[in-house]
Amino acid sequence: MWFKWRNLITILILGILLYVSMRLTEFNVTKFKDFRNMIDFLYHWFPMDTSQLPNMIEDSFETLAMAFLGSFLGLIIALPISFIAAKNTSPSPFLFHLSRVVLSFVRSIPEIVFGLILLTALGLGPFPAVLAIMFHNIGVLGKLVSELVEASDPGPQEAMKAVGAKNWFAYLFSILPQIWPNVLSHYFYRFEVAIRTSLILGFIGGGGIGQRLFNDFKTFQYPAVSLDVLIIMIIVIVVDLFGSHVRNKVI
Amino acid sequence: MLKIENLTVHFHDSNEPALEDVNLNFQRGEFVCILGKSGAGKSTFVRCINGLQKPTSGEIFWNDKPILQMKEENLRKVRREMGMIFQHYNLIPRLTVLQNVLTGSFGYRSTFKSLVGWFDKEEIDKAKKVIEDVELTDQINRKVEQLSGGQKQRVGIARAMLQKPKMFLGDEPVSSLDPGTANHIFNLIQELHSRYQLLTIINVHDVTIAKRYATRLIAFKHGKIIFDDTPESFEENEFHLTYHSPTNKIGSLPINK
Repeated sequence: MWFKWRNLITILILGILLYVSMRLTEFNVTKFKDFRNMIDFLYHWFPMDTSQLPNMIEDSFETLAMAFLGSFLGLIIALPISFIAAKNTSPSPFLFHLSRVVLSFVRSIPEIVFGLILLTALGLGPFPAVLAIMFHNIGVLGKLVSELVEASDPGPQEAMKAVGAKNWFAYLFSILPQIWPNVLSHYFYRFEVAIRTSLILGFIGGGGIGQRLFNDFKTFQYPAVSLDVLIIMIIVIVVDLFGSHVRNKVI
Repeated sequence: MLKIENLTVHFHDSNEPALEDVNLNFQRGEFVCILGKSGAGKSTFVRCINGLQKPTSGEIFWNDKPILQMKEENLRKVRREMGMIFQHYNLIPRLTVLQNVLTGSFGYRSTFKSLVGWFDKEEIDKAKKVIEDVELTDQINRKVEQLSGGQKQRVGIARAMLQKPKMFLGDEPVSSLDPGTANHIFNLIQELHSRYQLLTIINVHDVTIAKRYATRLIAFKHGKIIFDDTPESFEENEFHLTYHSPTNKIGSLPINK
């Protein structure tokens, strides 16, 4: 009764996909016989070198600032766009489709590509990294928030129209309080992602703790690398805790 | 006060019109209840009056002014004179009772002032006054989702009252409430109705309630008016005409499709 030929075919297809993917990625567990190299390598990471700690902390704040500024500016710009990109609140079908296309275009470009392009004009440093994070987040948050707007209860909107409020104002006032907790939730997740992104952008000269990690790594200063990694872990955990605290407060 | 001429509404997804050639005249002080089966057109009718539903043809006159051709700006002025009460209350979640009631004044206020939530003392006092009228003063700072259904509907009524309406429109305002609460809500509506000499037009499911409160009953069937008279003359025969149709036998329903 539970058995269906279709299930067998699904399993077969999954198996083929797994095999092909492993071949393409040279996935091979037997390669781990050289794992002593890794232990050896990690052995050089300790004891940690704390001589650069004040500079590292300064760079960490730079990273946090990059992530916060990039994602927050992204949210501020994405909010009005998301109302245009939501079917139920869009002022016109033309603007609806236009904003959808623009959002998915911006979203499809990875931050690192934005970063590399902006670097040529703005030079090295955190500023192009902030803009790169911002652009990508406009695309991502714009889409996520517009979906929240579309899923909101139409009843309050109708009530706002019925009291004689202006149309766009009715949308804003009846929808924002409904979706606000979810917007915050999305925002904090994107903030977390932005921290990881700003690390990567540090590799291409975007500044912050990411760039320090990259430089320490390239100059074989592994005791410093281990402290960089520890600091990054602490940042991510703290931001995560802070985010869930704020979300609980709002909800 | 309110005049409906040849009102017809077609929905795209249906061959039969939701409303067909409806002509009605309402005076100030009338308490009108509208009856009919689900899908008879009563909700569409009420929603046409304040323009939430655009009719296919016909005209609606509010104090002799045609409202269907009106520009947005003028339509808003008409809408704020019609306080509407909804079946699902349509309150703004996460806002308090007071904040929700204050939204009733948005038809009168400048956009900027409403947006930043700047209310002067006079406006807040007015809101507190209508909250007192609906007996919710002790709940004034609670978020609306924490209230019971009856309390929510009273917030809805207070919001409508803050519009300084000349008319009450109700789209099944008590259909989600138990009979006791429904009576309480109707008592409240009736009291405000006579205190401010309003015109009240309300859809109801419950014939007993309609007969108890209305001064005039209208019944719809298949988008047409089949009854328009005093509540006393709505009797057994009219009830059957409104709610039963000869073709609607249970045995003929396509159950095992």
